[in-house]
Amino acid sequence: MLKKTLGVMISMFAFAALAMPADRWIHVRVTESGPDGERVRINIPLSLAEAVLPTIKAANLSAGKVKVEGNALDQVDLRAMLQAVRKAEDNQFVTVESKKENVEVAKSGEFLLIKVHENHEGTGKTAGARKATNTVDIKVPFKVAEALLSGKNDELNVLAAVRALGEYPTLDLVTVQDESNNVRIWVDSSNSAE
Amino acid sequence: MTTGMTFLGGALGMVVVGGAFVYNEGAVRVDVREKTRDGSHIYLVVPAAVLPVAARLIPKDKLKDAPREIGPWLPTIKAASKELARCADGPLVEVDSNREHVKIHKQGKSLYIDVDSEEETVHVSFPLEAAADTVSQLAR
Repeated sequence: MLKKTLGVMISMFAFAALAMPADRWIHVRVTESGPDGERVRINIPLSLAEAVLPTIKAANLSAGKVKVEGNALDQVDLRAMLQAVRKAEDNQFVTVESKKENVEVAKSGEFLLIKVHENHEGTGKTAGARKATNTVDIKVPFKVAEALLSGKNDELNVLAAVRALGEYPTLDLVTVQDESNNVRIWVDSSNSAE
Repeated sequence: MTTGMTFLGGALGMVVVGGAFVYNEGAVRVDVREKTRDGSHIYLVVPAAVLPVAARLIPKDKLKDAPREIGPWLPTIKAASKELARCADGPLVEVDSNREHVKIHKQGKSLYIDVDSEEETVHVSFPLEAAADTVSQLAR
């Protein structure tokens, strides 16, 4: 679950990264733990994504829009749901608690907040003896989510989402912490990830 | 002024203008140094202005698949190089580990790629515009 979520988020922001007013940058920082751990830092101007996205014609990506195959977006009226949540008072809308996983979806002002906490047995030598916790925190401005859903029913308008993202001077989008990785994706006006 | 002096002045002017053009276009630099005891060292500097011309001289049969493979990505490469040249200087990608350090950064209108691994160090730099022009020639 955590890896899938991370994969989808990184893919989406990689598209965004392929970013807007010239002074907005999207940053991705991945830090692997351990003595041999790698540290990856990616800094991409939003204006670059905005310039490049319309030119890419790949499998499901055309004119800055991703076509979602199957009927994944038909099952639920995401636009109506998003509008309803945006108009509602700040609240925690979804709470799923289980032994292995806690999921919370909340609204705070102009932001949709998603928190996932996974608990599982550690994988190290002391596996079984200790519990490991993975956490994913996602903060999405409603403007960006609406822009992403501004295309046809079966499309994600990544280009519009990148443009909307550029309206925020600083924004922490995703943080992931697990046993071996620490991932942070954010937007600001600095051209370096420090 | 004699005809000879006029000719010499014209030739000198062409050299100065040509030199200024080549200098303005920048250069592609490749520096590879193997870290083994007898490791080789390759250092290459090519004026960027020469690259699109050199790309034209490559026999067409050697590039028969290039238009099909590169063609669809040409607008993307052009848009990316134009926008990268315009945006602020700084590091774009950095990967650090015990074994390897990779840095891709943009400075001025050029892109710099530096790799420092256990086996070798590689430094490559090239002007963004010239890279797009060269790729365009290859895709023809």
